[in-house]
Amino acid sequence: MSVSITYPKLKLAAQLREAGGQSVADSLEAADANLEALRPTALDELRTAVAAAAAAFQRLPDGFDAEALQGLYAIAARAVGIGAVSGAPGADAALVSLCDLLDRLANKTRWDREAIGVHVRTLQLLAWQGDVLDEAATQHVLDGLRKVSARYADPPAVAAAAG
Amino acid sequence: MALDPASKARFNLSKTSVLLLDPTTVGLEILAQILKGFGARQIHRCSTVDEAKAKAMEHQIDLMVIDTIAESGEGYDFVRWLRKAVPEPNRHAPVLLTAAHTRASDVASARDCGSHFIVTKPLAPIVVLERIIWIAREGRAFLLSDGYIGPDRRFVRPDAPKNHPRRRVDDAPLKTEAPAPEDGDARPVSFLDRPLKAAS
Repeated sequence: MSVSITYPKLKLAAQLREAGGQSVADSLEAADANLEALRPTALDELRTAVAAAAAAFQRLPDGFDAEALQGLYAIAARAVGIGAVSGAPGADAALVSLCDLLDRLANKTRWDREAIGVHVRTLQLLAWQGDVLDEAATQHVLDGLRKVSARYADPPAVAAAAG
Repeated sequence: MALDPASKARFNLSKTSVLLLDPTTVGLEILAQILKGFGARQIHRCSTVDEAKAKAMEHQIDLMVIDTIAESGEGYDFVRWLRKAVPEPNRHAPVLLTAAHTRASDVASARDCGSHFIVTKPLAPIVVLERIIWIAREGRAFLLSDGYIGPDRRFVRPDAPKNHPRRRVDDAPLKTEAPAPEDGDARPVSFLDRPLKAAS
């Protein structure tokens, strides 16, 4: 097998060092402010995605359906990251847990409608009534979701989730 | 790599041409607002791989932030295409992958597609900035082989014992968060495999 090595000069490196620019502190503050301005839009988008997930869940058949899992996975994956900006960071963790579950069910050709359902119901709670849960309660709920998802994980992940 | 969020150290992204790929409008907006906060002004927003490919062929890009597009894995395909099919300098452009979720079947793609870094969503601005600065500072060599084209993934481990001999196939394998290859752990420590500790 042949391997060749090159050392490309990154323009980015020189650009970052150019005079002017802004400080790390100011940059982070500006980025946070920009994201804060996005909060109402992000919350609308999160609720739209969760509503789509709930509708897809209602359409799930009683037995294994790879296409249905894939459809719900796409809805969930595309929404990850919106929660943090919308003020409902727990929703991101719930979405990731749902993605883990759907991926594991698809890989193992298993079906667990109730496990999917508990994720969807939690997402509805977090997206519409997230402020009624304090941080400890949210973490408790998310830990529960991870345990549900870990039922279908390979052994090391099961052990890690059991903590 | 940790960056002090109160640091007054300055950097300049005002002349940096950035390409963003994210399949959702809000995801693209989140990325763009983070980069704008960092002072980037030339931002190419793409919601499909085809759009990103067209931009990568038309414009000189200094930094790419590419979503993996978890449900299809198209983001990995884009980076592979970039490394193989695009003329310099964009072929070697720094690529920061963002991932909403990584399917078990995509772990190898995430490791081997040729990106510089992968960052999981939700995106924290400080993490994005840390990675951008790290990529620029390190200026990694590029490897071109039959199975891999991309930045050198071998990392110096600051926690490794001094005068530690070069790792060989008979060295104790590292325990990592990613699955070990079936033929033994003879590869360099990957940027995706966070070393935890050497197996005893």
